Amino acid sequence: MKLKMPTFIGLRIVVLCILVALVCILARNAGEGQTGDQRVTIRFAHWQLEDGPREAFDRIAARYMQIHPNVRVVQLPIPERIYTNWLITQLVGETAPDLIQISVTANDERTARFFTPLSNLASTPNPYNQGTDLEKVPLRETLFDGMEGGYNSNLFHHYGVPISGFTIRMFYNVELLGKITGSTHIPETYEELVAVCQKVKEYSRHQGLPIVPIAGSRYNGPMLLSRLFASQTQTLVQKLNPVGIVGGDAVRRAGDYLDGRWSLDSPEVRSGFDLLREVSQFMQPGFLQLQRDDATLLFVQQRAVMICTGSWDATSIRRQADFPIGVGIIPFPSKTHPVYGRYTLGSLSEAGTNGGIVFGLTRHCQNPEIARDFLLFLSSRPVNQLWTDASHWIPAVIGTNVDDKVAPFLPVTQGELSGISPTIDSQGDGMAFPEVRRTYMNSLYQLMDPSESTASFINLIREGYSKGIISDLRRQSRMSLDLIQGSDTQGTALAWQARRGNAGSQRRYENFLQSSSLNERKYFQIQLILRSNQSSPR
Amino acid sequence: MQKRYRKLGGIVIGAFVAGWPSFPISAREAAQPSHVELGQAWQNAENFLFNQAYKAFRNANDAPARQRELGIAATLLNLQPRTRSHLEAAKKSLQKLIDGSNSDEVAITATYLLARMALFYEDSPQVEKARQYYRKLLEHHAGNAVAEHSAAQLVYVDLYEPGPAAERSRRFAELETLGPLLKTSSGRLNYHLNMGNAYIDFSGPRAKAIEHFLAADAEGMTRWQIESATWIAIGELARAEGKDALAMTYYQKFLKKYQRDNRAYTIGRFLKLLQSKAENKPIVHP
Repeated sequence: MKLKMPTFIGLRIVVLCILVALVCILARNAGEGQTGDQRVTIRFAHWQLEDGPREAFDRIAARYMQIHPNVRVVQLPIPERIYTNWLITQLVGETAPDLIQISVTANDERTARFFTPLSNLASTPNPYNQGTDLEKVPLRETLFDGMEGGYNSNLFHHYGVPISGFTIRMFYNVELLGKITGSTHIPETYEELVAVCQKVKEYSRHQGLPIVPIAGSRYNGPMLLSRLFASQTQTLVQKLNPVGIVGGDAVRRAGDYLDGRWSLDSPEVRSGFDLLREVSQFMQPGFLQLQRDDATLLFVQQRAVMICTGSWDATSIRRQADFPIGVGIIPFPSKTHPVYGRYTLGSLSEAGTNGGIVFGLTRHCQNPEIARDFLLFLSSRPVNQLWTDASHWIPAVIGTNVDDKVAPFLPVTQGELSGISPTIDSQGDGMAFPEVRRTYMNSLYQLMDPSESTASFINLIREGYSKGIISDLRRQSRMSLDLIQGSDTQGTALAWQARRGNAGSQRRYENFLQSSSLNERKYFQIQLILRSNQSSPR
Repeated sequence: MQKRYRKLGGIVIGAFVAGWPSFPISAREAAQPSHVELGQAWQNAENFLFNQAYKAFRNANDAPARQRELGIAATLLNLQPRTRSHLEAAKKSLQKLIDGSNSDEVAITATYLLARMALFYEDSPQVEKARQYYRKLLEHHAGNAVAEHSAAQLVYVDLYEPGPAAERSRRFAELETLGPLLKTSSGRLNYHLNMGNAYIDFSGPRAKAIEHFLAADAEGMTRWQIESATWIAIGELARAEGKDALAMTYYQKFLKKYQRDNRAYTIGRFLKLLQSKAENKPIVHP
């Protein structure tokens, strides 16, 4: 009998705990979405914790609440590091905010399951553009990227609306630049960049001051390095492309590599690595071990003259730095450069840049009409004007005026196509070739070592590079196969919807057939590459 | 007393564990009418909501039987978790639908899905089997959009496998005979696009590639990625073939519609070269 009581008490304690937790959660949920003044609450979440966006969003929310006194708009800034996990938890728990910045990790299944398609919104004019020349223009056409940043090509719907855009630039400490070089001219070519860097190194040595030309880190360094590398492989891409193809195609390049049409010993590739070796000498030793904040700190403390980063860092850097900032594109070698001019075509085109900060409407949103209305408000020209004025970030709505702080970040449309990056993909972020990226990044420090050579670095990564390509192609093949399999059910559904004669369904089915064919082509190309190279295709 | 609690606890926990996964579903199912609108089920399937779609098809007892069966089979392909038994059940269902009648829309779609299953759902793709299904669809169901998509599929199946160049040339010639048989616009469009791209991929005759791309363009493309790439391909192939007027037409078409494309500057450069050539001006390389 003595043994029975503890079990019974334990059970009661557990039940009590569950009840208390339940009451707490219910009380919390009941409290949310309601305020004392009975206003409807709209919550939107994003991960842009840099300086600028939060203030801009506050001002936008205030403006909206002024027009709509019955609505309360709440901003939820979430740190990027935990964003994906936070997002999944919120979506699965059906406690997600009404509008969410869509993450690159949102896969098709998650997008379909948790977000509302916005294609109808895309094809109708934005009422908040009334009184402007965009008042009769469909929302999609009011955005500089045609709303492609919010389009899911596998689901054939728009799931988000972008409100900004991003580019990569070199930032200069103009004061320091003038003091050291005697000129505040921003380098326009790689030759000019090297001349500035050499002067900085000389100045640092003579003055005994710890100043480096370029602030580097594991985050910032590769942004500059991969683009400069790609300047050396632009003509190689032209050589490799069959007649009829213009521009980069990572799968084709991987196949070309395995077929021996280019290699790490190709003169263009060697030249790219030589260039990286040269430019990395202008960053602080061991920069690959440092974090993003280390590089920013070095720059704002005036211990570096330059830093390469994205437009998203501009406002933060300007606020932290008590010196004037100059901004320029990444300077490519000119065609007359005695060493690096042979293989380059010129600086890159940024046309085709997709919009950023894409907000999607969650399916579990309690007030979808109001959330949708706020999204339209956010993506209208007058409000996008407010956005860029307050944040100094790039606007997404065409015809929005930008000030001197934003103008240098607008995408450059006159430029050449990128060459192959060290990680095969044209973006150089290694997203499509993670094994190749791992091989390259793990050994990159060797290329920076003055006691080593480009040849020894190439020999070091050669084996891992080939294996990485095969492994990454297999991974891409599996991903393509997943999409193909998903598309079989989807395609059957679209075909049946199209039979009902609805024009929208018919168009979606036609889009489906064309887009799925693109993915299938990629799959068959990869299979052919792998089988031609005696590799297991799966 | 102890035994009684243990027994009771066991029953409660057992019932809870056994019933938990199905409890919310059962409650919802009980609340639903027996006839569920098939439109919503198809809508869910279109939106990658496969498990919901599957349940909706299963519940649609009063819906047209063959369409419902097709919906169940199609969603079984992606029902999570994906298992071999789901796939086998789907295959059986599809075969049953074909055996019931081989000429209606349901049978055509079922045959098409069986071809896909042979290619994409087996541990070792059954290429020959897929080819037979596709060929059968083309032979018996001309004028049906789903059946005619088989022509585009055959381009991949027949050409994208390692083999001697002579064999590939023979297959190209064989595939060329499919074009005139196609009666639907989407069938022709996707077939011509795939043929044009295959001629590029395997360095086939440029004139043939141009012919196919022009035929695809005549049908009208709806995805901008495909349209822009096709127009560039026509321009580039025509330039290489010395058909400068055609090349300029397509470069101009591309530049007019796709100013924001990152290839616009490069294509603009190519156009200027051709214009200088046409005007007999010395070519200035930018």
